[in-house]
Amino acid sequence: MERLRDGDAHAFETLFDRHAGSLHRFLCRRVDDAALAEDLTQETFLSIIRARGRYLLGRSFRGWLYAIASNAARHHLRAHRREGARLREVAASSRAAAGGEGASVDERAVRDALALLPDAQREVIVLHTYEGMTFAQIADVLGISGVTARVRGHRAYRRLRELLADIEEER
Amino acid sequence: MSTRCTRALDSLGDPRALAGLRPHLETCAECRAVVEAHARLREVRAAPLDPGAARRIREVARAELAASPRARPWWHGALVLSGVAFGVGAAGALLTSRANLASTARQIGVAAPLVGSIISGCWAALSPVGRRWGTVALAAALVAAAAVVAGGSGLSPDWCGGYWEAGLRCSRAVVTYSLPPAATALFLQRGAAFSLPRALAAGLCAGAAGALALHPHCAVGQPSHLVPFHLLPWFAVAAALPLIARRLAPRSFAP
Repeated sequence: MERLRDGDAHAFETLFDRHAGSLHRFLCRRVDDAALAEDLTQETFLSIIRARGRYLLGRSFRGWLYAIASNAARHHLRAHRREGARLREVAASSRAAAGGEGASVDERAVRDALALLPDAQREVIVLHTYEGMTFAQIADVLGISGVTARVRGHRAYRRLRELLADIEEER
Repeated sequence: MSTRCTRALDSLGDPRALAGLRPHLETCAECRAVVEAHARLREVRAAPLDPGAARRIREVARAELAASPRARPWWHGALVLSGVAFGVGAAGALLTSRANLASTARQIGVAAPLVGSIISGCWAALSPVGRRWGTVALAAALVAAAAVVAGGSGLSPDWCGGYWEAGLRCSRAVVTYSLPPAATALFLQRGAAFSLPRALAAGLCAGAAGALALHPHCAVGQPSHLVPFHLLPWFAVAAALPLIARRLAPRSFAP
């Protein structure tokens, strides 16, 4: 990252190769829309380049990367929420999202339950479950306290279980 | 959440650790729900990044890097904002008529906390760890506000001019002087994701610059004038900035 700050293109290539795939998977699960996840991946890498002077040496690069991606996802989801109709469009496209067509009944149920979670809870459990972050790391990424991250995670898992029960009962 | 519930939450994804918590899980329905939900999440797959899309993203990012090969450190923006805020404060203080009849020591006693509020506000407005500095900026602004009321901005307790006329003139001055630093802060803050503590700190800094510019040429020193017509516009500017900043599209989503 230090080399990228000085404009080293090779340093960027290394970071891109190392993180682009996992970042895209994270964003796919975060926004439940593969096309939007691609746009947000691009937005995240552009943000890294534009704001590389804001990177604090000694800080975990992965934490900084996921903080940027989380901010980008939150910004876009908020914009979609404001646009009412666009939200429905996103929800519809999410059905056809990453692996949607070949998804099992169970996977669809979990994906639907995830989509119904409040955004703040969803981002915590996506980072915790899929990115393997501890609650302390999540707190650092989201700029919240460790206790808040843990409480959000606990509530999110409990709510997810309830939503899954409701969805499976309806089926 | 009990200590055991916290341990169960921290042990998710670690079968051995969860096995050690089996007695607790058998009696705690909430933790069982948490463990079950976590296990079910494993069923969700995510599409890999399409190679074509990866190529496109890489090209766009390369072009961006080529266009700006040198990165400016974040504190560069803080210095620019400080320069604008102090420029406005100094211009107001030096170039306009001086009606404040308070002693020099007293004027300095009020101006010093305002300067402190500007410095901490500029730093907090652009620091990547803005949340921590935001608290410092807010504390500095409250100290400066108390100094403005306690120190007074004039020595005319027998002021007999119109209450509203003088008041609105001062309010207008605070807001007008705070516009250049506020606009600069909004421009510079687009380089990072919106953050309420940062935006609030920027507003406090801009308002403090307005208050500093007004301070030497206000002849009404009563709290009944200072609170509504000096402090209220200052804090109104501070409150307005987050509302505006939130609506601006950022150039970067970095913290």
